Amino acid sequence: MVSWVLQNSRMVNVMVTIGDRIRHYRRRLNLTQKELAQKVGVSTGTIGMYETNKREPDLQMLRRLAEVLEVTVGELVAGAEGGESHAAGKVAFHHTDRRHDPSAPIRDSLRERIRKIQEELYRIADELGDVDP
Amino acid sequence: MQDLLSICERDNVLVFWRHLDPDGKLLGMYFRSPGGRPIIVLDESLTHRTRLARCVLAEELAHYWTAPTADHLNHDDPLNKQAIWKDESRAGRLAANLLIPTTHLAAAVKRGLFSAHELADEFNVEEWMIWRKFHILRQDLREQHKLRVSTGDLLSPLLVDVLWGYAV
Repeated sequence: MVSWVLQNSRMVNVMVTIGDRIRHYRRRLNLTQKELAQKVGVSTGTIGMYETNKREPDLQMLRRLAEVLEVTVGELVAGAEGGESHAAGKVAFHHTDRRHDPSAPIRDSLRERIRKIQEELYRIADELGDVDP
Repeated sequence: MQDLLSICERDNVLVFWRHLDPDGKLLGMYFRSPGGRPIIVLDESLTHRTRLARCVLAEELAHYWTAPTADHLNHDDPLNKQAIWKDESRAGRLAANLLIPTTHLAAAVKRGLFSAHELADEFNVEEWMIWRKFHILRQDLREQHKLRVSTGDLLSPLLVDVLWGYAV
C-alpha cells in the first residue's frame, strides 16, 4: 500500500498501515466491524474498506475512531504511543527557507529566539502539569 | 483547522500561538517540555492563513508522532544534519498523508481536478503540500511497484485508472 506505509523505526509492532491498526485496536476491544461502525456513525462496509486500506479515514473520522478505540490519533496513524517520550528540548520547526533544505543554517538571533520561546513555554507547561497517562 | 486542533487536544498536545519571527519565516515549532508535555507553537500570522496553518500544524503534529531524533537547531554536526533530513522527511510524509489521503486524492483526480491549484482548494492546503504528496506517490510507486511515473502521468485522464489502482 502506498498510503500510510510508514518509515517509523520506532514502531512497536509490525502493523504498517492504518487499516491494520484499526483492525488490531477494534479486536482488542472485542468489537465487530458492525459495532465499530455504529459507534463512529458509518456503514460496516466503510470500516471494512478502512481495514483493507481501500479507503482512508479523514481527520474528523480519525479523531472519532481514536476516541472509540481508546487510543491516541498518533497510535492510529503512526503507531506512536501517546505517552512515549523522547528527549525534551529537541526542537523541530517549520521555516520557509528550510522547506527544500531542512538543515539549512538559520541566523543566531533566530536560534536565540527559539530557545527563549522554549524556556517560556516550559514554564507554562510545568504549571499545567505533566502529561496525562 | 479545527479538525487538527481537535486531534492535538485528543493527543494531549499543547498548542500555543506566538509572534515567532519578525521576518515571518519561522511559522511553527515542536518540542517536549522537561515534564514530557508535547508542545506545538504556531506563528500568530497563521491565524489569518488557514491553509498554511493546516500544513504547518500537520507537520508539527507529525513531528510529535514520529519523534525528532535530533535537535534541529544544531545543524553544524554533519551527522545531526543527516538526522534532521530524515526527521523532516518522515514528518513531511506523514503530514501529507494526513492532509491528503491517497484514496481521497484519487477520487478528486477522477472527478477531473487536474491542477495543483484545484487540488489545493479541494484539500484546503497550500500548493506545495500537493506537490509534496505527488512526490511521495511517485517515490512509493517507484520503490514498491518499480513504476517510474511523472506527476503528469498521475494526472493524465488516460492513465488515471491504471496508476491510481497501484497507488491506493
